[in-house]
Amino acid sequence: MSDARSRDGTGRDEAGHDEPRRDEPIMSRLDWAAFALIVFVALLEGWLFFGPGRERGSRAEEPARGSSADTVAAMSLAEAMGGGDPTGYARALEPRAFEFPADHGAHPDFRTEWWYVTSNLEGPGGRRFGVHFTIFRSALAPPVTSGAAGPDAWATNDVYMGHFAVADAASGTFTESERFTRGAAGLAGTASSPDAGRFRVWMDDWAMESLTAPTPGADGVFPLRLSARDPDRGTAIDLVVTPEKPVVLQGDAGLSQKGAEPGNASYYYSFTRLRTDGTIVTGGDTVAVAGRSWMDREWSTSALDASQEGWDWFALQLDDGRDLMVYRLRGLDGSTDPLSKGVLVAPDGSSTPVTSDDFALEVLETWESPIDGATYPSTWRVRVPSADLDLRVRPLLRDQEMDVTVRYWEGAVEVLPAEPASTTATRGDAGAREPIGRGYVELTGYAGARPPGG
Amino acid sequence: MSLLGRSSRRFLLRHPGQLALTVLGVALGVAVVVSIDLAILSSRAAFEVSTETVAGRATHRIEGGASRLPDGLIATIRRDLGVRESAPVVEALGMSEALPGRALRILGVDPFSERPFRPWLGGGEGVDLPRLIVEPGGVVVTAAVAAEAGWEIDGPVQLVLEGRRVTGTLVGVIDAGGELERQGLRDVLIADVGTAQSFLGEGGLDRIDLLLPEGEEGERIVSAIDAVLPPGAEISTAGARAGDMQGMLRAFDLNLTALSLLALVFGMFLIYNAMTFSVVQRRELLGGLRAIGVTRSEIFRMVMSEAFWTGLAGTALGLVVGVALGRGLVGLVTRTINDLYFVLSVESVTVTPGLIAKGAALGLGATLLAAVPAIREAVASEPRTSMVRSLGEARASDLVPRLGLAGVVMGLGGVGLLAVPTRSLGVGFGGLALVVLGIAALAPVVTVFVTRVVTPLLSRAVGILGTMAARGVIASLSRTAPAIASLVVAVSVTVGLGVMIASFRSTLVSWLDYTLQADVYVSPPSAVASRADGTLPPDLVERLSGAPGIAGVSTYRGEIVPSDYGELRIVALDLDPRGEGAFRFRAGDASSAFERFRAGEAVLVSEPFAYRNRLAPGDAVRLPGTDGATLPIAAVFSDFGSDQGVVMMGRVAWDRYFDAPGVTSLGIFLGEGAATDDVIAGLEALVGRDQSVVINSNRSLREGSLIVFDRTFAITGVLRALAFVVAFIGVISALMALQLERSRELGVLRANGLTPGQVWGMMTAQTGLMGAVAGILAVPAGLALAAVMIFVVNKRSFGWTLEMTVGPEILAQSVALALIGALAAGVWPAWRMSRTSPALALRDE
Repeated sequence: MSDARSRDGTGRDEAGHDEPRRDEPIMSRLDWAAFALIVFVALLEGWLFFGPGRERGSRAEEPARGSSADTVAAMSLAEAMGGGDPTGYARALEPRAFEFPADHGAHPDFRTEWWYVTSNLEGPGGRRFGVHFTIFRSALAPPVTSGAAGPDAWATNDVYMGHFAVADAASGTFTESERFTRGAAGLAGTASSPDAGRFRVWMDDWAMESLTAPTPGADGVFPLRLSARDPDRGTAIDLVVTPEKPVVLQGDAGLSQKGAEPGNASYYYSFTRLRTDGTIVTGGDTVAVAGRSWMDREWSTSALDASQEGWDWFALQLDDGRDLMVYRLRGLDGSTDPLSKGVLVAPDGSSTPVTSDDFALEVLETWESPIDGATYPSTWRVRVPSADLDLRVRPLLRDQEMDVTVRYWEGAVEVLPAEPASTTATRGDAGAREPIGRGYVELTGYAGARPPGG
Repeated sequence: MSLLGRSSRRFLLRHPGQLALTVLGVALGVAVVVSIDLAILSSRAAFEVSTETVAGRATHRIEGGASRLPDGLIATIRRDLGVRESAPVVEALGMSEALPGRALRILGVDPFSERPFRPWLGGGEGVDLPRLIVEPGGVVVTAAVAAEAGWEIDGPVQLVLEGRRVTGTLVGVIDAGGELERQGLRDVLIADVGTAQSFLGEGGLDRIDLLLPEGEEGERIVSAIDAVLPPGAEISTAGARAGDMQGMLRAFDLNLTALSLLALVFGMFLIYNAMTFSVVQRRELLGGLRAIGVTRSEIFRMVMSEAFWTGLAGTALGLVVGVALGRGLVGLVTRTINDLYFVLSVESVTVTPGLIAKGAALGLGATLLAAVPAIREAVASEPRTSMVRSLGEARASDLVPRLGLAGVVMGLGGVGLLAVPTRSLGVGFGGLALVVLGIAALAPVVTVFVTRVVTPLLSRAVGILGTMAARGVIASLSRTAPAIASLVVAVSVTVGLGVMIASFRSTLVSWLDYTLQADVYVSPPSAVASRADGTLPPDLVERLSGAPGIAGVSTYRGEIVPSDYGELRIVALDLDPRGEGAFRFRAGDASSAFERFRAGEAVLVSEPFAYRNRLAPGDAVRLPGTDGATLPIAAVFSDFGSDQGVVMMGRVAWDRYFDAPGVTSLGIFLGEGAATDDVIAGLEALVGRDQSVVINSNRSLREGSLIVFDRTFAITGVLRALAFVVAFIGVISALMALQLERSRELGVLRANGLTPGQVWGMMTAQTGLMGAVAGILAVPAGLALAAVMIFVVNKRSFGWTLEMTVGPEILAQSVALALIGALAAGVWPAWRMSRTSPALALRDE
């Protein structure tokens, strides 16, 4: 704009140079430094003054594992086992008539139930694996009797929890996974009525699914395909199980009393021996495997009494064709509950109850969890004198602790004779005993909170 | 401190008013820029926070477009594709009487799917998640929201969602730890997905959030998901969607920024004046200093450091004022975004170091830049000549023609730039700036010309004093011209914005006149003024359509969906023939358009849509969410309802492509003789107790629209006023410099017998003359500005064509504004000068 300048009339101005002379720099270095410093200080002050604006960027830390819906669900399941308020649920008060295939499916009137399968498997070269795969259903609230208004695709009271673990004896690794899924909108559920097609229980892409249309009878849903995967941990299973023995109703014709209080019981049946084939993915290997599985179905609203701490549960498949299940219910004072019991299944499938007086458990070794220092029993002597059984049970891997929301130990075991056979006594103790069976052991109530199931 | 430094400091301290004016000028310029920036940044930050909090950590999302996603889709994705990290979301906007005026976002989620996405949901002891799932109507909010609304745990939560009144139960409060969550959840109610569906009375999901791995694995999963999606559903990255939303605001933000920069330019005028003034006052002092051996470089440093310190003080003050002002503007900006675009709640302003740095750099930079002429003037002073002012003026008058030429060149350059067939808004603003600068540069020429013309008139009217007043303007051109130029710019901007807003408003009024054809409108209560949320309950639609006194009904079903064209509003219109007048076609064959539209063979698109996407009648529009279906454009219609654009199709076409039944709103035509109020009362009686709809008469809807319009332009009005204030202060300081310089001249006049009143009158005549010149120049400049804003900036920003309407009052207003501004700015200097005792003024002689 009209930039008025006074100029002298001398010749020097003719050239229009009215800038300072060269020997007089426009601004000395010092001035520039001072300028820069002032700007810097001004900016800094501005920043400090208005600083709180920065905090927007800070984010809440990712909550510690389990501090979410999952914990709540798991705790609810644990509560169910421990006997939370059973109002509004059905109770296991007396033996019932089982109906298949319907009873393979869900029992929404009860608070909780599970589909439990453990497998002892061998890959090429005798590589030993243990697989544990359980789907739990847990009700968050008693079933709604009146129909809810509005769309109900997502409406549900059920949450499904899945546990899946692979033990690899060759590498000594044990890899467990846990997930929770809402029992609605097709995310998780069961299909067991004949018109629903094939039987299945699933949560997301984990499933136990019948390969054929159901036929009458408890084993009418077999062969059953088990599939689960955890891409994050690099494990997967794809197994097909077929029973080699008929269904076994546990306890009193399927009513398994757990606590002294009436109703603290479950409905419980098992397939103690299932032929198993398929593949396992672990540690980057996909391995074809074969072996035997054990399947439990159990549902209840409350099980343990307040005075009970947890259980040690054994499911053993002996090479002589017999299967033995025993569990010891532990009191908070370390005592063994008289309701501890089991069953012995003959090679022909006939079963004999085992009462708490019929068996004895002796802990030979213990193992300390690296996670929280909890001490678990780790090797046992199991005696059932009436069946002429005196067994030594030792874990395939010591660390098969399920590091899940509510921790417990669930592991593949080897069954050996309790005493070395005399013919091989001259050799070392370890070589002296050849395994005479395999199985799974579940230890709950050792790591703080009550267990989610078994 | 050196002698020079002390001299400089004493001078400034002895002229506190002047110092204050300079500081104020810098401060205002900086404040306006900072406040606008702050408002924009804060609304963006709030947008990001709410997007992040609500969208969580999703990398991708599946959306159904106009249709809802089937409930079973997520099971398919998890079971068959093994994508575990996926979460269903039902989202709706609603309101509550407990939180008046706030739009609430109802977020329906599955708590068991949430952990990877929205970890805050599990935080805290307060939320009983099982209860959230199993309790019918269970909702949770943050503790702050609960306290604000007065909701108590286990207590009822009354909501209005898409026309339905629903009552939920507060089953817990979220203990949102981080600031991010706290802010982002300010207007969010979380419910179980099933609960949200029952609130809405419909199944289906609004979206599925996904957390997919990066790289090839992720791409593989994306294409696998794409293959199982139902027609219309689309998978996109989470960022793309947020980008679409942000993109909607780009033109809006740019316009605000341009306005704020204009204020800074005014601020520079002001600084220029003030700095020159302070140098002028010390002419003798500086000359004296030079005479005793002070070098040029020392003088330079002295003035430079004065400029620096005043600039620094002004900048610091400007930053503080700007932040305070920004807090106020955030409200206006947010309100507009809420009215026009989407629901956004800004709880706090975001002051970033970058913002402060920008404000500081602008303030200091502008001060130093504006000080350059003054510094040169000071440095150029030779010991002797610096005492002589006349040489400078002689030089300045030489400059006038050259400046005028430069003005013409700049103006033509600006026009040329505007004529460039581009859609760039930046080029538009560049051209606009050149035109304005060109006009400002013409100010001296015009001043000289006008003064010459009016001198005889004045001299005839008032005698010699009139001549003196007029000639004084020319004699001190180096002072008067910048003052006039800045006044021209200020007034022309005021006029330009005024004409633009008035044109916009009158265009809108006439658009509303023909577009609101129906007599009564029914829609669900909506949180965003310019759009309806959700659909009306079907039973209600049926009842209302059959109400007595009704001759016909148009139904409207709209959805805003992401598309190839960005965020797009697609609309199904079942148009009653009486409503055809609602369309004014800008292009296309009007005779066949409705027929093809009704038959679902073609669509009607709004002008902004056609403009943005360079589409014309006959071109095909790719319909979003249809896997590539297209329909030709039958015609382009005028529309000011949405700057993103609207694609309208007949209901037939809608039902063919989208699984989205229901209607969003109704336009009801009354039968002969039916009274609007009676019919509305009748309709209201048909609304169920559990329903909530808004029934508007044609008139109240139109009034409501204009209220939104006025609210939208409130921020423009504020900026317009600010720009004027800055310019006004600039004019005052320029006139003060002028009068100060003339103190000796006036002293001589007083000594020769002029009364103080005569001096006052002469000076007032002079400022009045300057005001008149500015007013005269401001009219064409303002109109040019308005034309550019209407036909270039608005068209390029929003794509709509406005009719320019110029009322005589606005032109009169401009002249009056300039006159009053100049006179008011001259009052104090004139009063001061008239009071100066002649002896004092002549003391130096």
